[in-house]
Amino acid sequence: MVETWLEALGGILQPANILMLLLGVGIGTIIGILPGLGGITGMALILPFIYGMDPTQGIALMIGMVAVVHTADTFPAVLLGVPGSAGAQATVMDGYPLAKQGRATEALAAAFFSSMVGGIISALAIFFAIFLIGPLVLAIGSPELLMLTLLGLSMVGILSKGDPLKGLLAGCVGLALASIGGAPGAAEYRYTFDTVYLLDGVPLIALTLGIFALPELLQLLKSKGTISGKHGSDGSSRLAGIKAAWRNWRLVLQGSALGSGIGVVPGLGGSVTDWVAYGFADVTTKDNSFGRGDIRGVIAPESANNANSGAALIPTLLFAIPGNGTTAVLLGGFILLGINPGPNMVTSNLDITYYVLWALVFANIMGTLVCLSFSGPISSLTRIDASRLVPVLLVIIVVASYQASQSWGDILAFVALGIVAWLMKSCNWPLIPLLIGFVLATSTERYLAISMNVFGFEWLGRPGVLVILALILGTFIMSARSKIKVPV
Amino acid sequence: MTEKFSLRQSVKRFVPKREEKKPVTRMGIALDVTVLLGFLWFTWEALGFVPTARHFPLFVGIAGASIASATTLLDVLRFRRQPRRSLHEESGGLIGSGKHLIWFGCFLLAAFLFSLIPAAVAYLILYLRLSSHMRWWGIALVVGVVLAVLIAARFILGLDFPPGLFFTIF
Repeated sequence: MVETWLEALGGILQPANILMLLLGVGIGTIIGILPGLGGITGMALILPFIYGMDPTQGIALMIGMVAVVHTADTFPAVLLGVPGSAGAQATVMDGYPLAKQGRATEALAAAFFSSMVGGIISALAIFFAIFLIGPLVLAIGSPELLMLTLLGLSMVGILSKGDPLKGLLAGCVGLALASIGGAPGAAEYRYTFDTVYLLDGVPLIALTLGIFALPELLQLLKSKGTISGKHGSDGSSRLAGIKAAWRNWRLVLQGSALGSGIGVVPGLGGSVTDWVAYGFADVTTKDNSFGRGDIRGVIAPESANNANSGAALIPTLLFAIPGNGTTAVLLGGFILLGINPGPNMVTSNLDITYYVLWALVFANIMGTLVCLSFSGPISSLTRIDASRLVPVLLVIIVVASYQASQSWGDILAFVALGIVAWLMKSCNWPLIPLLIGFVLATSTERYLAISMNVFGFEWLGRPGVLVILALILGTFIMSARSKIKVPV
Repeated sequence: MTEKFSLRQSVKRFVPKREEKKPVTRMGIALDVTVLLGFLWFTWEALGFVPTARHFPLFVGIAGASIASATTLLDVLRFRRQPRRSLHEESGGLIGSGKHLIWFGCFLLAAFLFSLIPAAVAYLILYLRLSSHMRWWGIALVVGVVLAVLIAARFILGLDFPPGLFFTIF
């Protein structure tokens, strides 16, 4: 086993493979920076070139791209308050307020460093646990998946600071919006107003850009300043960010463990991990100012989302079950290279599995170095006058929203949701719970339907369900305690 | 020293404290009522779906309508208690953003009629000159960079742009 491990390390260190890895990292960085584009676009871009390529080079190219998308998507999340992808949603909560305080470089550096550590920890954990993960993943059924999505949904309560009632209501609005389109597990289309566009529901990209980008950009234009406001110059440094991540190593480990744990479960995306990591960090850290620009609010979700994207490769490799859209296309890439993912990946093809994991480790290091080197110049965006920057961003965001399904309906949905979010923001409604409700609704409904159909009410007594239920209740109690304690 | 956790205090979290909250506006109440009506309609519609597709929206609808009722009631009570402000004072922020929203609306209309690239060029030139009062060389630079990025996105990343009703470039 150690011999195979070292052979795989030697393989990835070949100059041609390193070059391909670097190319993949470059593509992934560009894709991640552009809001609205994710790993699927990146995979679709490189897939035509994979055919006929040497498998080791092909794997390096694909893994390089996949590994850094969630590192680079921190740029728009921190600098513009727009999540570059689903995995960067929670980063916005504290990343953007930090940018507004003139600490964009520090936030970015902390995020990239945590991301790198998360990715490496996840890869190393899989190295050692690969033989145990198989039975564990197979033991997880729909009831446990349902409870994990409920754990994500429970974060609505924790994250609705200031006005829990409006937070819950916004969460319900998100759940309602996600009910539009085809019902999971039933041949019924709901709330479509007889329009073809709504048959597939509201696209996540249109919703994310609508509720975050449009109100924020309009607010910026109105304020006639820069993103960093009166703070002007970005006085923060990369070193301060790296030091902050280093100081909060427990949080990085916690996020990485959560990301790796949830990542190996197929069917749960980065959104769940992101919010769970953020929520747990909120209740487990003392004297925090989460939501108002706390560096720990960036470190926790960033270490988790990268660990998640690495761990999500495991069900893809071991069971040929793609955990998300990106890994689905990646699966196609492996097949094009002549590799058939399945249980043989821990027997006859163990060398390939180790090679993939090494590629993941090196891609994370390279991605972090690339992103760190660009974080200073890109942070200068926060110092450009909004009246000059925002029109350009609006054009880019319209293009990004159109990519959801290449229909004018995407742009209409983006604008309509943006105007609603703008009104909600004007009336002091929290918008984050809306997004959480939206992203987790479909999984909740689907897993609830499957659990009820297969197990009846017996699923409520499953050990895994009870453990996660205890976790949810524990989170609520810790959250309530941490907010009620007031100095006397 | 800290106070001990109790159920009563947990419930207190949901009761708004006047000093922590921003003032309630008429638009805020109108939004509450709209959301409440929306959830009532949402619940009513859910009753017409087949049972397997009904449970989830029904639950969400009832929960949403209940919370929206409570929110509306609390906001109305708070509105009655707080000092009155004129409609102009309340809507100051919206009017400020409205002008920029109209600019953006014009850009989208132009994109719908003449496709994205010509609309983006016209929007950037007009906005940056008339609203941002930018110099011509600066405008040329910004438009050039945006065009280069869009063309690269079209031909390298293979992205599609919204077509125009009358003609489409790229």
